[in-house]
Amino acid sequence: MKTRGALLLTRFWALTLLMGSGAIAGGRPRYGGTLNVTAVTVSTDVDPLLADTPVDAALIGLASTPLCRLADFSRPTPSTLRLTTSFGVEISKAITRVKNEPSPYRALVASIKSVSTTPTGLDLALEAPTVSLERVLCHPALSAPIAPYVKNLANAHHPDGRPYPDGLSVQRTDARTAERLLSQRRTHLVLGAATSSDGPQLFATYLVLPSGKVPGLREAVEATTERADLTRFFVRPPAAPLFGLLPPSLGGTATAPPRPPKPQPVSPPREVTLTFDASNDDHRAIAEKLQVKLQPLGFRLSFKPVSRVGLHAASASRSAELMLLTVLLPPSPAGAITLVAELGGERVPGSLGLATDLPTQDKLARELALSMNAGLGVIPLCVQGVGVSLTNDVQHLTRDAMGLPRLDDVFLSSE
Amino acid sequence: MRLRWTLAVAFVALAVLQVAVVVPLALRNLNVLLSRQQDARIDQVMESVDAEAQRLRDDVGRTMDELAQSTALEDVAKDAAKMPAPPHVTRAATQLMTPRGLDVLALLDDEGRTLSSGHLPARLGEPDDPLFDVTKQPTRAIIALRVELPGAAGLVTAPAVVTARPIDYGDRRVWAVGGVLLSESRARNLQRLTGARVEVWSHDQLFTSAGTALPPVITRAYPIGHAAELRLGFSRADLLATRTEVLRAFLVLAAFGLLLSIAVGFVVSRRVTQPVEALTEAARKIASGELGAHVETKAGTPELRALIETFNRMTDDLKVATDKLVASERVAAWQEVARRLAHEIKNPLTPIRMSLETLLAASQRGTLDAKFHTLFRESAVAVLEEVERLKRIVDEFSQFARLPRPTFATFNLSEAVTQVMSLYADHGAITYSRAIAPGVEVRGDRDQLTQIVVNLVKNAEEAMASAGGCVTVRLTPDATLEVEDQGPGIAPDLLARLFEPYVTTKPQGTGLGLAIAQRIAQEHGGRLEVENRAPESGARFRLVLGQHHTRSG
Repeated sequence: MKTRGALLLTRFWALTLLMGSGAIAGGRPRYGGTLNVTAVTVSTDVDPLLADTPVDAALIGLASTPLCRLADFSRPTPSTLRLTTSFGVEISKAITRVKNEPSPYRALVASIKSVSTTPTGLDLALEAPTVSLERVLCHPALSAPIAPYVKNLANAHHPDGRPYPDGLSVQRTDARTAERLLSQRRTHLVLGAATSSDGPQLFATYLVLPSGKVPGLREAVEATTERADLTRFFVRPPAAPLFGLLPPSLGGTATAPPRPPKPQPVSPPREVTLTFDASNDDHRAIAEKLQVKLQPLGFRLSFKPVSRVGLHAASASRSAELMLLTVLLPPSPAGAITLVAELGGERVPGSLGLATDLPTQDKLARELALSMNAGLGVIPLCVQGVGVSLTNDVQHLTRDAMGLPRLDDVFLSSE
Repeated sequence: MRLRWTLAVAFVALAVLQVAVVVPLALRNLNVLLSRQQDARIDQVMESVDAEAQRLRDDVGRTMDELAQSTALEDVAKDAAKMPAPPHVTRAATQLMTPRGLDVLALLDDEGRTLSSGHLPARLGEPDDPLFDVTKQPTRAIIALRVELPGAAGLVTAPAVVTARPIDYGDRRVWAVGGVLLSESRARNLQRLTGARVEVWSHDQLFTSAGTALPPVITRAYPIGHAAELRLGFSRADLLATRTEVLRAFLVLAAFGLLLSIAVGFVVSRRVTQPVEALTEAARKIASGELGAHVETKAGTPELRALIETFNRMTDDLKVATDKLVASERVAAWQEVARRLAHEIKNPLTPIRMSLETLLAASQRGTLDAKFHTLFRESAVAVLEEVERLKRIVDEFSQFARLPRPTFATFNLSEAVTQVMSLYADHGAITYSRAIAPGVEVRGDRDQLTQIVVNLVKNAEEAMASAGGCVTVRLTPDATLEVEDQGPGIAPDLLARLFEPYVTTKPQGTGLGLAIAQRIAQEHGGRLEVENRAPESGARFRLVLGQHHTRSG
């Protein structure tokens, strides 16, 4: 992991140098200088497969490019997705890695039977049409380590006269320091700021409980958990309560269902181990809240904080008794429900993949989410997005389909 | 046991007795003293614990007073009703708690719902009944209770000292309930202060502890309200160590005293017994004939020295008296010898003189006729008899006077006695009976012991010369020889003097036979005894040899 982190750092340096030399070589107007980005995170290295938190996913977006942006798609047959790309090797590696690693994101590429190389790129053989796959391939877990700014350097489709940054500096720190840096204009942009978000919020946190392992626990959680309060006080904004398996941005329900009556406390009290991501402060806060809520009902929650890799492995093996898991859902209801079903240890019906057009598949996926909500061993809690704070001189910040900030078109005004 | 040892043992016994009595008594008193000291120290420590607890309460009260006056809490009270609660309300307790040294702080609305909790942030929005109950206590009361805290294995409860303060804003009231935990760090502070092991118990459960106390331990409890109790364990190990040290010192001193007593006992007993032993030695010398023996020692008490001087004077007097006695006895003995010799010689001289006067008268009368010859012959015979008698008397005296020193050798006494008795056969009215144990060996002069047997048997025969009887010779395995006769026995007044020279009951006896026999017996380390046989008639002579002269086969 350290090697991977070092590689990414090297790429940032290379990017910075290339941007500078490109500007000089092109004889363009002077660039806007270095864009200073501050990330509120403790992660020192980021693996695309571990992009569970908004900031980590945003950082991945600075150093790698999602597959959907590295290829042009076509469908020679309904069950074949053809990728016209010059990054065939990188894309193939990324898909193969996700398929083979013990991660909840395996569900994203479950429909890909095989990957074959073509003169112009790759052909993906699919089990079913899976018309949402093109959108699913925009997930950061499926990104290739190719810096998105390479394209910028080669060109020159930016309008003349705009002071695009010719360097990028990224630092990691805590929220308070980031806030101070921003107020002092010592950083242009803070990733992970506690602000509202105008983009889709797809980082969904679920309480995963293998069904039947702890009788009465699901009822106790459903009866006591106030998702609105949980979201408001215990997780970092931007966040919203998650009342169904799919977030509102994917067409999931946005209203709270009626809360069931509080059950009788179980006797004798039962000790339950809750496994969660040790590096995720929101997980610990939610865990402590659940502890306070559940102990009066006879469930004594003991904590087992693990690394994110360990959490993914526990999810894949379904070995944990109770687990808090945050996943970045793909920007597709069908892909999202497939991923959530995987968390609950189930597979979505094959009919979902057979839909031949996107609206139909999205509709089917939303219906499926509603029908699976009560039976799946997954309790949705909240959903988060990437909070970004900017100084006024940062212009034209956009977000991609995942709600992640795109710095490709950012330029720095001279005000 | 010798006096010296007796005195030494007495000294040691006295010392042991002293140690046995003094040491337990001293130890008991020492124990009492040390226990009192420790109790006093513990009381002192408990007073400091009480003062520390009071200081803690005062600190909590002061801090909460200051907090209740702060603008931060005023802002909380102002915005408490806002929905949703702003962050400065929900995070207020966390931000205010730690800088003020509080472990517990909850901000509650007037219905007991948690607006903010520093010690359990997840309590936000939940009621906290135990803490809300504190608000119902009398104003400013410091209460001990158990508060809930997050734990890796579920919520845990911990004892704490808390107090409540109201913060009013208009008609709105917010409660701040805060205090400190009776935590491990506080237990450690108390442990440092008291030197005792400190345990914090709550509802019969050990919450935390600090320090160690070597067993045995005295435990004192200090209740903190109804929710907790401090138990302080004071080690008695130091006390026991001190006692052991003192006991060891006692034992060393006792051992030293014991050794000293033994040494002093020996010295003193030696000083006391040396004169006594010297006296004893001198007495032994006197007994063995060294009449002039003196005690030369200068040691001893004045009384003993006076005794020694008296003893020396006495031995001097005794020597003088004995010398005088010996001299007079020698004179008397010579007189007796002279008398006896004169007597013995005088008796034959009369018949000799008369025979010679008769012959002289006959020769002066005329012719030496046949009658004269007869008379001459008869007179010559009589003279020869008397001369013979004189010779015998002289021989016996000579033998008594010149009895040779015995030549000791081991020989079979049974054989010697049997051999002697084989020379005797019944004759006339005298018979012999023998009861000789075989194989009795003795160490002595065979000839002299044989002479004793001969003398005793001859004596028995002469005792029965007129009436006859049986001579019984008996030799027992322990080498005791008995010779019995059935004669008239010995007059009681003669029994004591029978072995003195010249004492005899027989007209022709010299009174030297038994004296010689007694002397031989004495030179063999034995003795010769005589007794009358009762109720039978006759006498019994018994030869008992000294122990080192007998050896039974």
